[in-house]
Amino acid sequence: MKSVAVSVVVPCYNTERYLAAAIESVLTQTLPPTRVIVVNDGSTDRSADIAREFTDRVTVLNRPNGGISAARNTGIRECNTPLLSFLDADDLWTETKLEQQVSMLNDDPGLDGVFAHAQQFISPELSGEESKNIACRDTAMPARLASAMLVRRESFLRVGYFNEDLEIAETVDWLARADELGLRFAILPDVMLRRRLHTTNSGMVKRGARSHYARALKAALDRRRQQKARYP
Amino acid sequence: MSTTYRINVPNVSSECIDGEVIIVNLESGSYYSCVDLGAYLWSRVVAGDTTEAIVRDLVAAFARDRTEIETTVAEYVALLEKEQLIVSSVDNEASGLSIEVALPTQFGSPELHTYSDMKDMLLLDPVHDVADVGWPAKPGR
Repeated sequence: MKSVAVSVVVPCYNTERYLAAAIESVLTQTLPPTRVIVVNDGSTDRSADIAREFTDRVTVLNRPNGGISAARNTGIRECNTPLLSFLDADDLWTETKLEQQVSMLNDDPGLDGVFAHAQQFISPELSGEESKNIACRDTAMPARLASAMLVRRESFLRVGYFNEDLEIAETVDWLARADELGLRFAILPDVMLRRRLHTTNSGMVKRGARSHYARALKAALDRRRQQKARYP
Repeated sequence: MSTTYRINVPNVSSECIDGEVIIVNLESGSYYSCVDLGAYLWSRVVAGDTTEAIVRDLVAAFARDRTEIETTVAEYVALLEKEQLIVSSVDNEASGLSIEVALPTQFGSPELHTYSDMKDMLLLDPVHDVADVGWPAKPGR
């Protein structure tokens, strides 16, 4: 299968247990990416060592811990391919993710990006007690998540980089800005992202940052109001 | 004893930014906005104040009929409960949520604006499966 000009940015922070599987799910795509960039966001575990095991096929960037937005942005700045995608280091792609999404963008030049459906799963290493306590919705869901997106680089840069002030809700913020600019996205019906639930999901460990959702949503509402006032 | 309410944790969170309260329901994927009297009532309700106490303060602040104020407060609290943003608090257990919202200068009809345009993203956040008592725990455990 011929390669395609897609870059994949994989931000990681202390994900030694899951990182190798995430990278493998990128490298085994039926349509492999041109470039894979793992951004080690100041991990204190073996994440950097694990990423280095793939250096024949993966670029590893190390940076001081700055959060997922800063890590993704660091990777994006290294990308010069026309298409961009992302995968969180604890999640997995299904093997035809890039092939299907690239095909859709090729077929519709007016589209700025493509999402897919996601399915959550409980990480198998969790103890019975731990997994019993997680309420996992395992039905396929339309996923406007960074890890399920393939986007044209030019479109991404029109919206701008991820907001580094947000520890969570950064994709909500980015997509709100994309919607305001009128970017067009499609959502493919197949599950292309397998989202792992475990004891250290960022949404779980950063519970104190839940107010960042409110901040991102308030900013979006304010922008819409300004837009409405400007163009009633 | 009067009924008190608390914010419906862990699925609901809120923040007051520049006088506007944003409430996020990660269970339904909806989010809400309220200002003025709506924001004030939200802050008082989630602080664990009784509706009687809230009515008393509003009656003291505004030259309005008590019955009108009672009806307004009751209807707004019922709306918040219907949207599952608050739950009645057994044993008057307060949520401990402190949101500072000033008493509005005028007694206007409290409004709660509902948005669902980010539903898919909010529903996929795993934080909604976690109870405040600590991870991991299903809601209600």
